[in-house]
Amino acid sequence: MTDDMHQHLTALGSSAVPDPDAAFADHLELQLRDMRAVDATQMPALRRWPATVAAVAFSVAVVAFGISTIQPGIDSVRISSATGAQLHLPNGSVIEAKPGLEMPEGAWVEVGPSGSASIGELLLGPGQVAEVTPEGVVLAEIVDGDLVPITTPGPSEASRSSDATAPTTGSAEAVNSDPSSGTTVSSTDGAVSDSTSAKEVAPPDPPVTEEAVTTSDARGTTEPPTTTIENRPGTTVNDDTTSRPTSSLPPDATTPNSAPSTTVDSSTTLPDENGSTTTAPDESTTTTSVDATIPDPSTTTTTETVEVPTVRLPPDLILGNIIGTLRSQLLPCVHTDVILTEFAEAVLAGLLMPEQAQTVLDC
Amino acid sequence: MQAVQSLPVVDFDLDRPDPNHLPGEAALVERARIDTQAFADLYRFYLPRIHAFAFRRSGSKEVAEDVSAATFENALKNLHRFEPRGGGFGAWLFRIAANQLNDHHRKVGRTRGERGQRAMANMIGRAEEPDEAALVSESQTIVREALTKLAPRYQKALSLRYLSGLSNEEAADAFGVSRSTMAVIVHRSLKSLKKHLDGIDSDGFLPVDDYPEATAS
Repeated sequence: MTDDMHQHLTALGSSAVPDPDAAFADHLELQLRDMRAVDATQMPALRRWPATVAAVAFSVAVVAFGISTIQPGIDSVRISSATGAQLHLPNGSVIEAKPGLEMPEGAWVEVGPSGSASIGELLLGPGQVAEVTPEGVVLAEIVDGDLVPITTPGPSEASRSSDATAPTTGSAEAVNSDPSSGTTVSSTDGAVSDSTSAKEVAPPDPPVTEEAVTTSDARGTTEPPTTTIENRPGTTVNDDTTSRPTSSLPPDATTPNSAPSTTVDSSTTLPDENGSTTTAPDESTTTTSVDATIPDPSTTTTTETVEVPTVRLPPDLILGNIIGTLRSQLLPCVHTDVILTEFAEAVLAGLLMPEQAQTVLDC
Repeated sequence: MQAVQSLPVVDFDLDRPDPNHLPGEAALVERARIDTQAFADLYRFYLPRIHAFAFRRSGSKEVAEDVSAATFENALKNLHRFEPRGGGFGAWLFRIAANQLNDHHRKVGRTRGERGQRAMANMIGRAEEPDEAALVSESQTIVREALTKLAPRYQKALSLRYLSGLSNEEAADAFGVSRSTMAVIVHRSLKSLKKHLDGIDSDGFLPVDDYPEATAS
């Protein structure tokens, strides 16, 4: 059944057909060439347009992402004020530093001999240099033509660097120490001497520990190793207005392994203005105990008792104080200043005890 | 003594050009994506084949030219999408032509009513008879008309299989199916064609039931 159809179709497929008309063939070829010409000038451009836009958008996104990744935390750095300073840009150009100029990363400001500049909270003086780094604006210095950031010391490091030669420093102020002769504290007036008896006092409270960390700056300066200083409450002097924490370390304490146990137990007698020394009564005894501990296996505690004198007041002031005291205690009575002054001078001369004068004047 | 059996002589003349294939066609197609002259070479080689295919299918010179022009224009526009697989550029080109023929016959059939269809059949038979008498027999005209009544899928399959000049494998590639699947589709198409040819009366007219537009109206 289908064989007939097969034969019919085979005959139809093998039948002779006329060739395409030559004019039609040429006309169609020209038409196709024109289409290709139009396609080459317009269509490819239209097809490339989305790809171009996508490529540009992708590039912008990549650049934006890269910038946000490389500089995650840096805000815009601008020059707050500048006089006689130059701004060195990363591309090598140098312009005059002016307020408001933005400083990209890698830019740096160099202040002239008589200039000044401020970048944010950083103030630059003559000759100083500041650079914008990924961490922010830092001080720098020019070494052999290269810009080298200067490590800014921290607060504790700064306090230690103020006494770079001293192996350790106290919590407030260092006291001149001499283990061989004891500690001597000179008073400014030197009139009244006050002495303390030397005692070793066991630390009643947990020590306040200050730990010095060994640091090394760009210049290679190395801080001493860890030193522990125990300040105890007894480090105050029996003067109502004076508080002198003290510390004392042996001279060889600068090296961690060369600090053998050192114990200083000294009594200090302060001379008065006449060169004589007096010993204060027991009531005014102040015990000062300073322990200096070096973090070394051989570290020992240095206990030192320091006699700290009271400040000697001028005679006129003492007399005035006595008169004032008498007057305050004798308020019900009416005494002239002349009388009070006479009694005060008597007390001051040692002819009359204050209690006796008060009794005499008491009404 | 055993007689020496002579082997059949085989023609190993590989240099002989295949008239149905263009030498270096793959490279030429690649160049044709950007080179106008390369596409012109492809056009000159395939235009007679596409035109013949369209003429055999439509039986009309004008339709053959229209289909040929539309085929190459679509090929040029979509050459950047062409992937050299299965049958190559030739099969791809015949697939476009077959689709164009289906579109043409669908549009023509849609405009035909029952009366118009009968008049058209008479006009075609009378008009082509004097000019194509030597080329196309009346039976071929009847078969061609019967093809237009088949489902588009069957029209396309039979056209590629019998009228394109492609081999069975190339026709299957052009149709987009395997060779075995193509054989099944062709078999069903022949049965459908037979059904339509059997329904044509002695006057050469198709039964009214085969004109959906007529029955719907």
